[in-house]
Amino acid sequence: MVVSPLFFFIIIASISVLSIALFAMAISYYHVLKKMMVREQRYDELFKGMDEKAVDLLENARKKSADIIEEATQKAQQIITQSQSLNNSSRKMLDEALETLIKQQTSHFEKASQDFLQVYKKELNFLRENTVEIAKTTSKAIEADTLKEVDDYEQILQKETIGSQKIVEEKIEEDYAKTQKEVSAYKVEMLKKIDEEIYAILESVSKEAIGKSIPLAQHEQLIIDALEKAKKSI
Amino acid sequence: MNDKNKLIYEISNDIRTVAEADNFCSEIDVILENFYKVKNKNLEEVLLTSTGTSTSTLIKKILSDNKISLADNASCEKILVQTRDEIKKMKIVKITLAIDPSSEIISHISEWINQNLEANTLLDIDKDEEILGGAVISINGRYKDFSLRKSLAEVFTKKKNELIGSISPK
Repeated sequence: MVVSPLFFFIIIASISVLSIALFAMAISYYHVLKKMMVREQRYDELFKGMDEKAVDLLENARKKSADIIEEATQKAQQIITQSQSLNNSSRKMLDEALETLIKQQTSHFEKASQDFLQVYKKELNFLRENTVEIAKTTSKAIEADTLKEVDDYEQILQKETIGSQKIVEEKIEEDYAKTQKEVSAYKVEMLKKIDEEIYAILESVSKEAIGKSIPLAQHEQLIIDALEKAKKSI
Repeated sequence: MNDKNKLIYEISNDIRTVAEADNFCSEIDVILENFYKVKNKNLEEVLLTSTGTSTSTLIKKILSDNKISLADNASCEKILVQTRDEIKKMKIVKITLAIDPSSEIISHISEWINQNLEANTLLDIDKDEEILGGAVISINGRYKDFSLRKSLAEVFTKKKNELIGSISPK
């Protein structure tokens, strides 16, 4: 048997209303009791100053009031007892309803869990199979792409290598030609320098040899020749 | 030829260079100084005590050529002063040689210069082996290089390419 949640809430609401009413009655009873006590106090005060008749009247009134209070108290107690009883029965009903509800919900959840588990396993299997399939496909695609890229890279590398080799060869040839030109220029320059040095050495050696080898008479003749030249030019 | 030129001509064979002239003038100064210092002293005594033989001989020759007696102190003094002054006025030819010239070469050069270039000149001789031979002459502010060094340099300059061609490896 499935208890509707609405029914469950109605029961809880009823219990709440009864509890509020009971609480209101208790408060009312408290006020009445308080008033009684005030009156009794006043009565005692009045009792002292009144005559016997008045006392009797008052006694009667007191008794009547006491009876009334007693009756009210009994009624209140009765009401409280009844409300407690109602409360107990309501609680019992509520407990029973809750227990039933829990049992039903548990059963329902168990079934739902079983169903969900089945569906989940099924979906999981589907996903796993699907994933494996996708992974296989992806792996093949990656393999194909990788192989293609490797081929492309190899071709590019080959082209670049050949290009670089050609550039290097050209550069080497250019440098070689330049170096050869520089060497030739350097060779010419050095030969020129050597020629100049040899010339200077030759001149120096000639001077030294001539200076040392001229006899005194020859010197005298050279001096006379110099004077003869001076005679012509000065 | 006037008296002054005659006087210089007479001594030019004996005083050829600036050094000789300076030395001779210094000795004349010494002789003149001794003349002033010592009264009643004749030139013969002064020459004996103050100068060398060559200077003494030259002075006697000058006095003899000018017919002046050694005892005539005044004339002697006059001719000595005149000689010294004329020597100091002589022109100087500066000549650079590659050798230390002998006296014979100096005479030869001096004679040649006095006859052919400029009369009454003194030689200021300098030695520079670098010029190799010939002479570098400076006269009347003009400089002429007639050295063998210059001639050789000219030959090397003219024949440079020819020389380099002959010594370069083929």
